[in-house]
Amino acid sequence: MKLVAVTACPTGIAHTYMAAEQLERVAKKMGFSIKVETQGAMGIENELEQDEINEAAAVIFAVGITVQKPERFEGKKIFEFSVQEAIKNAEAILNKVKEEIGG
Amino acid sequence: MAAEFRLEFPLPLGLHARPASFIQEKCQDYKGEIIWENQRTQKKADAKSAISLLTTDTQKGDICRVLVSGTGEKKFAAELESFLLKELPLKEEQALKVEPAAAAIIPGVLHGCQEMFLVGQPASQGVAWGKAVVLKKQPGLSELKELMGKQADNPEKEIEVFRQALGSLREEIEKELAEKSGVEKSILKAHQSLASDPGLLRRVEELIEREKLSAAAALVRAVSDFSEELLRSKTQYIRERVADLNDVARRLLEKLGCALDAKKGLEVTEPSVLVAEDLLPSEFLGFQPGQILGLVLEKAGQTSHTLIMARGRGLPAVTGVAEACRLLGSGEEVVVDGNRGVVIISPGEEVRKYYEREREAEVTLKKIRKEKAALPGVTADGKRIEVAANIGHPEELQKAWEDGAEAVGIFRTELLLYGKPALPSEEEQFLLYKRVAEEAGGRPVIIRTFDIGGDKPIPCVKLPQEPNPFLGYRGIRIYREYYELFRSQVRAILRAAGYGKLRLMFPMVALVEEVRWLKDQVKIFEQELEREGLAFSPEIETGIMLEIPSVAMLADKFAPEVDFFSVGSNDLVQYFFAADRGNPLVKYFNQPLNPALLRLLKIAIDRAHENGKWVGLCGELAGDSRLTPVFVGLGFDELSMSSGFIPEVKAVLNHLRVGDCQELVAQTLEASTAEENEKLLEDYYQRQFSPELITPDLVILESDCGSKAEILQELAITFERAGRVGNRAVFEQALWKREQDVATEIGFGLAIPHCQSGTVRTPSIGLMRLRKPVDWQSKEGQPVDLVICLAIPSGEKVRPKLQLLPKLSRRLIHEEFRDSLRQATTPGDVVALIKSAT
Repeated sequence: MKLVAVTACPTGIAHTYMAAEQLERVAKKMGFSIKVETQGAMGIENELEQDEINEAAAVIFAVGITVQKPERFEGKKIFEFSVQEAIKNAEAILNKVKEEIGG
Repeated sequence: MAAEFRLEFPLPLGLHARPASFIQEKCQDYKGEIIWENQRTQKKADAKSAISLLTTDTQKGDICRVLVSGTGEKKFAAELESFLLKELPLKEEQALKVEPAAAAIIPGVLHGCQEMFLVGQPASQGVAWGKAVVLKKQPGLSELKELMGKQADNPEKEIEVFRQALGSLREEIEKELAEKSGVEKSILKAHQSLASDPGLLRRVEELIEREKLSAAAALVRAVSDFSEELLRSKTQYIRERVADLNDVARRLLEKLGCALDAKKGLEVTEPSVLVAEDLLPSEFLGFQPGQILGLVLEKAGQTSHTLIMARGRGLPAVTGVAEACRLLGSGEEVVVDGNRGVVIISPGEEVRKYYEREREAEVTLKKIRKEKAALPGVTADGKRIEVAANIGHPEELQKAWEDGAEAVGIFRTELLLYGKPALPSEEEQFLLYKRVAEEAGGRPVIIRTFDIGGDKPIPCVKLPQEPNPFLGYRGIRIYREYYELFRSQVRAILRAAGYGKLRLMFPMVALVEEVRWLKDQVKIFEQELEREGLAFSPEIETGIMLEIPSVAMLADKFAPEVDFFSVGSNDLVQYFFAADRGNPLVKYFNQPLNPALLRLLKIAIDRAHENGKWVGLCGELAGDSRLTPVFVGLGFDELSMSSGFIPEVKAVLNHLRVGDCQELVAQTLEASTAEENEKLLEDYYQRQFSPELITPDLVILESDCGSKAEILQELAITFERAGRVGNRAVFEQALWKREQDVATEIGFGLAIPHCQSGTVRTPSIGLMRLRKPVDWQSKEGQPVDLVICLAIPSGEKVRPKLQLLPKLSRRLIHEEFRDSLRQATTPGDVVALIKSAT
């Protein structure tokens, strides 16, 4: 199953990247493919291409602020969580996404 | 026929009490009438009365018409105009060193614990702890209605009574003056001049005569009327002067036998925190110094004289605390946090501990500053650069030595002349310079001879009006005409030089022949002294200011004539770029890193050095520690600054290597713009000087902190101690603000408090391990035993250093990395681990 995600938090120097790392780590363990875009103090990094978004089975937002360039995700099924949840319970999040999209 | 002129009022705070009293002073001896008319407010005043002037509500930029009529009206009008435009703004600038009002900062300990506290504005630094004494709110003068209409049938007698009361009050203040010094003295003096204000006195006497009022009733009426006018002013500073007026009025009323019951609330039996709506200056002075621990005021303004005195005494104070008198009870224990602007009521154990730690931190930080001050003026690779202080008055010497000055790089003697009706005699000057030489105890002191003219008009030297005084008759250029002024000063310096190590320096030299003339005169003065049998030092080192570009270009020809040069950067910059430094429209020419200016300095310094002469810098730029590498690279031998900057400049200097600085300067000389050089300097700091993200002094391995508040406080103190943040209170508050968005506990026993704040100087990482896990007050949170604190300066652009923080954040997700941080045995190991992760 292919997933894409965006992480972002108010200061953008810690949680954004921890959540990204955690999602990547746990997804790999669970056998998913995932690409995580970070929107932090460094600006947008590892930016998602429109093709990648289109191909993804679902979009995960792990955010504490508004996502930038939201138009890219129009029409996609979006699962939104807090950054904290992504860091603390990445496995539960991914399981929930998996169940809902029936993957 | 009256003489008149119009002026645009120049002072930023408008025409308030201090300048009004200066104007009164200037005008009072003129035999004739002087009317001040504000064209905006349409109000007229007698310029001989400070209070009357205040009621014109004159703001900066108001067009005022001044009418002088009487003997010599034209001459006096010209004199007054020059006084108002030149001398008055200078006096104001000197007097205005009041910090702007700041908003309250909530101390971390108040987050998440149940304490009662009140918020105001920080008004005087420090923390006080003690019992509150709430002073009864006093009736305003205008509320003394029963007095206002009180009639008297014998006006002559009432006037007599009133004059007696005035006389006795003046005597009383005179006595108090003898016991006071510094700020307190000058405030009492202002009160004394209020008590002699002819406008006020005339008004009172008029009311007695015309309306048959009693002296007390007339006084209350007059003061109420004046107060009302003052309160209508747009300038806060003027509104805040009502307290001074009321103070004097109250004391007068007492003398008139109308005790206002005011003093009753003022009995304090043990050292206490005073809580009041406002405290009049005389009330403040009425307490023994040890009786007051701190002040909590409802509405004293930041510029109120009571607060100025509190700062002078180092008494913590918070003002702007709404309803303080109602909310606080006498006998209640309170903490007054004058650093943050907060008052805590009946503080608990947590608060007590918090402030104990603050006090300890304060002691260490003072020690660090002292250590920096004690550093030698030398680069890391051993080049000696003398770090000196600029002074304007011998009283500043003590602080200069405390701040670590190794010398005085410039003693601006003309400041001694301000406010003096006559020039000081040679003897007077000799005693003063002798005292300076002796107090310096062998440290060199450069005495710069009078630099009068330009922006520095002096009342006792009447210079002609010039269209362009900065390019005109100033500095040594006036010495031929005002020969006696020059002669007496140089003779005094020569005579005093033997009592220490004095050096002589001349301002505004542009031509070699000027130096030759000056030296010839010095020789003549020496011969005179010899003939008169007066002792003097024949071989005084003599130098010139380098503030006119011609001297820089011809430095090799000047060098044989002098012993040293000292760059006056303020004037040099304005002469070099042809841009008036006081004119905001051309302020952008103030570019210390402009390559043209740097080339000019390089030429001058190299030519001086080739001829064996040394070069100092005594302008404002010398105190900017960011520029120190440039000054070292250019080859300056001495840096002289306001002494407050010395510890920081010394600390920077001790880290520099001359070779690196020279390399930097070589690059800056090739640039086209100041902006390019800003970038070069920034890169230099990145390369050479910017500290690592984490250093061992940011690592605390075994902390006993028992609460989140304690942890954040400890981190804030640690970061300030390590020089990473400017103000720990602001940093602590920024960390808390982030915690309030969402707590930064992220599971795994780990919390990552962080912030981006202007008080952070350089991107930094701190780490703290806790002996006992601590609750982080987060929802469903687990206790935390590992804390990693990230700090970023605000407005920080994307820089290599900053990109390391996300890298570290990612690594922290991995258990092995966290474990290794938990197991590291020394701060050095932690630093190495974090470096390996980033």
